[in-house]
Amino acid sequence: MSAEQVSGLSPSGRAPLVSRAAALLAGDWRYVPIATAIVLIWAFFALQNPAYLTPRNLSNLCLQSVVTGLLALGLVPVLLVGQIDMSVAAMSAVAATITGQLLLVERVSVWLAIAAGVLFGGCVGFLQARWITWTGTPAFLVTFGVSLALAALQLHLLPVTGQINLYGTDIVVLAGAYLPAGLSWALVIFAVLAFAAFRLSAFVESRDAGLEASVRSVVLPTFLVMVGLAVVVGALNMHNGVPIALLLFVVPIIVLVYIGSHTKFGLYLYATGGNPSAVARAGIDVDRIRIAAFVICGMFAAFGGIVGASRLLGVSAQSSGMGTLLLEAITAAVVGGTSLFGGRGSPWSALFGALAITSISNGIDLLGLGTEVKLATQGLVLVLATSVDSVANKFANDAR
Amino acid sequence: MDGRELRRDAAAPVDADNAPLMQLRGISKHFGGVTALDRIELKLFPSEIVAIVGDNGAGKSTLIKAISGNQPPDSGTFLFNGKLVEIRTPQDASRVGIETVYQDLALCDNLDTVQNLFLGNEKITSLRSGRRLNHALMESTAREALRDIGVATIRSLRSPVGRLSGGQRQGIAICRCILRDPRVVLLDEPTAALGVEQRQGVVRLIKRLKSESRSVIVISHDLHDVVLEVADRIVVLRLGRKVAEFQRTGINASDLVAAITGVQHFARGDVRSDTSANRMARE
Repeated sequence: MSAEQVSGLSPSGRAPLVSRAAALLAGDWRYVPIATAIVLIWAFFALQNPAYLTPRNLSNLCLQSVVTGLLALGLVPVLLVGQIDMSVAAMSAVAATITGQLLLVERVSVWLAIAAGVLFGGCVGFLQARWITWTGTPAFLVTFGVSLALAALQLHLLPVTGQINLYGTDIVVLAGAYLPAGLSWALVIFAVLAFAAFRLSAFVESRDAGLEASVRSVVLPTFLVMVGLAVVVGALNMHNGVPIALLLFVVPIIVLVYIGSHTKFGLYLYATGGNPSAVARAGIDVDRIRIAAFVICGMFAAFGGIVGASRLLGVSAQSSGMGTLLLEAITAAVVGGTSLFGGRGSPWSALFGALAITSISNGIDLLGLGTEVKLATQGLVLVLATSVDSVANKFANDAR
Repeated sequence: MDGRELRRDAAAPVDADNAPLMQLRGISKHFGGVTALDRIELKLFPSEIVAIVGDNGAGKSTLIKAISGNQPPDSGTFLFNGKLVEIRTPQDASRVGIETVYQDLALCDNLDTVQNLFLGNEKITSLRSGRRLNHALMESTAREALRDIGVATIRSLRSPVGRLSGGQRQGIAICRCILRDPRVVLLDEPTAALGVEQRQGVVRLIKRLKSESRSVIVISHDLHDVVLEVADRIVVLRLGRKVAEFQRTGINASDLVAAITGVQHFARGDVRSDTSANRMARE
């Protein structure tokens, strides 16, 4: 669905350069800035320390980005509808605690324990959203309050030692296992074929509907996806292989991207963030869309917390609850291009954003710089990313 | 649908050769102690354009909101094709065949033209293709519909409508409403934010709606370019009351201004000043 032109140009002829650039950055070139930023970050740290760009560190970096990324991914639908959820970090901690306690104390199966944690996240998301839509209280305050309550709940659930040790339980496979090389290549082939088939069916539909369509819209993206996947999987296979955790992050992204661009619900997420009253007047239940966004967010936050517990082999009040996780998740989504003002963004932003900010903190750790440098950088990146988002939003509003 | 074949309502006008498509009876709306609409009676005939004029606070927007289901009236009834209908929500209105083009256009600036045109009314692929949004079908339908109504200057149907001009956005809002194939189109100040040339485009569109045998109710301040240009009948509201009703032929802007402001003006033959409310309001 490229930018074809309806018969006849606007009387003014070509649009000015700035707005054409803005159009490109909002469309096909959406990920160019963030991808460039990641390349620059990698180049910078690789020059400082050659160990940075090794398969071993890149594999580690992927694993590190998954927890932040899953939280950011959950935030994407909430940000799209123009809301925010400040409870994701606390939610992830409580869900991890619930899952951990079920595993260790109740001795339930690992899948049941994970399902219970994720279900808890969904329920809390639902209750928060129901309250927000019912009372009209700003989501910022409700979710922040809930986040404190969740932190209290976690302290209550944790054993007296203040931590749960998950070493030796089945849950460590989430973040500790890797795909065999052969299977990872089979998955790459499957993914490329599926992508090509999907693009091809879109092409055929466009052609059959009498729209301009070129085979290039199938071949070129498929080629890029193939090369990209081959490079990533090749690099990861040079170390331990593709981490299972990365799949647990990327597959939900693909699912959410599909929902976002091919279902009514996905469209309504964007529409609600754009103009809620117009959506309501079109006969759509805006509150239901908002509530669904918060439920998705709660579930992903919970899942992220569980994957985090698996990676750290335990849960404590510090491991995932407080600290900078919340701001990292919000920063990741915004850095990746999802707007705080609603209606703009994509689930891919969670991947790119999480990769970008994890690349920075990983690099700072590798250079042995202190926590103060890390905190300062994280803060500055947050301010910078949200400022860029605000300016872009202002520009979009002025363009009319 | 031929109005003649429908059972005539007892209160139907004897002076019309058709039964009214839509009839409002005694529509009233109060906000606290303020009477925004006071027993409004309004008939709309098939393929007729009725303009509603009045000063600020006359009740024009309240009336449109009542008909469109956005703000149900406190009392009064709607008849559609002679049948009593209940309009409490925009969806009720839509089911009856009434679509509204809001003054703020109700577009999502972040969505593209095609998405806006089909919002709430999306086309879905077959079960076999996974019941996805049918992007291709919606785009080709949109392209055809836009070309049909002469809004073909949009550079890309796939870029956000926030970047389009006021005239193009107005065209999209009207096109969205036409895609739902309504019997009655309500237009709230369709030219308020437009330049002269774009205004002409909207006037053409309104005439086009009539030629497709749709009825139109248009609210406008634009007496010269819109009201006197397109309306078959002009209803004047003042302080929530209907104070005058004109056939367009034979009146001019100063007649209208006089009726709107209530300032005494030499009466022309075609001013229907037969109701007591009318006479009272005209002093």
